[in-house]
Amino acid sequence: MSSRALTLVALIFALLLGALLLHQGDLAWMALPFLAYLGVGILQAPTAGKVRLLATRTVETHREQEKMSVAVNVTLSNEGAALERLSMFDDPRPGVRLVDGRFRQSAALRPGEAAELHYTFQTERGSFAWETFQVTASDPFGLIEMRLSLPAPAEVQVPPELRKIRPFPLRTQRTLTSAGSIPARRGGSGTDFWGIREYHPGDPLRRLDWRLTARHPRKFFTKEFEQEAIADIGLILDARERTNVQQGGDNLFEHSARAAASLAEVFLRQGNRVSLLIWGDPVVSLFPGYGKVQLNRILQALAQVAPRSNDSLSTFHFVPVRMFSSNSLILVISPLAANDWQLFPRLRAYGYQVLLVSPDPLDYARSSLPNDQLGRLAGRLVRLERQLEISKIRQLWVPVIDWSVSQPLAPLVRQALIQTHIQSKR
Amino acid sequence: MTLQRFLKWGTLTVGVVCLALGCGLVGQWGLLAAVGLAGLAGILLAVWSAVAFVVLVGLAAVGICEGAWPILMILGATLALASWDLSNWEGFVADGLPDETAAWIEWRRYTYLALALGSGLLVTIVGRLVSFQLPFGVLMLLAALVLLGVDQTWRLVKG
Repeated sequence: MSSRALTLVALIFALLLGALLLHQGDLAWMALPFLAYLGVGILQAPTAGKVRLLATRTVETHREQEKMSVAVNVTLSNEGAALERLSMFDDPRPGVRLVDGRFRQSAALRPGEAAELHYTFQTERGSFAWETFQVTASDPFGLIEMRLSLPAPAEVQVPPELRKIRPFPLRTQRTLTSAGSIPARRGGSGTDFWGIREYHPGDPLRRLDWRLTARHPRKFFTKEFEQEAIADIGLILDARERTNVQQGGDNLFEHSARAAASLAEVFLRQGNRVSLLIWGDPVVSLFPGYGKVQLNRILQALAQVAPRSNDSLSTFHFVPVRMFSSNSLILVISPLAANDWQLFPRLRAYGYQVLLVSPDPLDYARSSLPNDQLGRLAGRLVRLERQLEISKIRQLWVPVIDWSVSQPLAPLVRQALIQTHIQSKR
Repeated sequence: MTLQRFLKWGTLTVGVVCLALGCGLVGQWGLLAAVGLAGLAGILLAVWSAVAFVVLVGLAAVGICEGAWPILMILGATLALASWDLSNWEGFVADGLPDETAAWIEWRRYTYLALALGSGLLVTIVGRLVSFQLPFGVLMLLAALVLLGVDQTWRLVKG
């Protein structure tokens, strides 16, 4: 029963009660047209047997500039008797911006007819799943309502935006056996000269060093070239609520997720093996993999993740660092909170090469910080705390990118990767 | 102005005039002013909420108790109900109802409304003209039967 029907019933009761108490028959007569109105509503109300509706949902996505547009179309078909008053609605998704259409629409359907609800919303990233479609069928006056949840499942995942980055000149401590683009520091079949060794049976004759062979009778020498192989790269993405900063409709985590997606894409494009650990609630770990399949897995994981608060995950103490292959290059993407530096000695102790990409939360939230004396002082204190944390990490020979998210990340990573070469020598 | 708007404002205006006339004829100037204010608020503020409808029906009931002509009061209250209903209909149409669907359903809706309120008014007027005495106990019994009937119908619909 709708609120209108309740109002009407209350009025009818009040009028009848007034008529009885005041001995005013006219008050009872006044209730009669209201009763007739309510009666018509009740008689015309749709019943469960009469309503046969079918909903089908289609979802399409396309990217416009930085944001992804998701177009949702739901078709409601009437396979039963005529329904003169229908209200169709879909629950609005949190954190999205409606750009076209509406979430709610009225309809009236004759037998065999169909109505459509269409809307388009924009979002940067996310995982959206629909199970049902809500329909309210009522009598022509909207007094007696019947709420229906029709099955109309659909799912769409919006991965973070990928920014195409030029391949990085990587130099890792250890490489894998498959051919790739990273100098492997061992002789083999690359392009750069590596050294000369004595000939082994089976070496190709075109690699023979004839000059040296000429100088040493009865001995043959083979030229070696530096092998180029692929490397193991691990990404740790900080998805804790405590390190996230909300700024209007945007938040700092979106930048971190975008950076993780772009870095994963470029490393996989270079042929490397990439793994991902999302440190949030829930913890998501994607074991090392190659190519487009792994990229899709990573993008799906990044589409679904949202910064959440969980006390047991509030620090980096229990990060399962051993999920990464030994001697991997680990990129940690985190805005850093107090005592987060303690993760890095562990990573270094396990022999990983480490690089920290730290989106600067203070720079990100600068516009919303109070500009009075107290605000400036608080800002300076937070800045000091952050610098102290970063300096502790730098002391472990971990290159740190103090990333102002308005700046492009690729040149900074390129520069920092040169420093990881130094790290690998230590 | 569309037909639905014309009907909405028309029923409201006529309803308020009926109530005002009824109150004015018996010299209930305070009640007349209240009716005028409620009607004016409904028209000027373009907000025809359930509260305004309930206020007008309440004023009509008070008017009857104060001796105003009942037919005018009942007519005024019924027209207030019609206006409230049409206001709700306007909201339904504005909620993205396609034009061709609105054209199909509009007249059916007016017909239902006219039938429901017209029949209710007709029975009321006839009932008032054909007057017969009913003992209070019988009236109570009839009221209880009506309540039971409404309750049973509601159960039937819900089931």
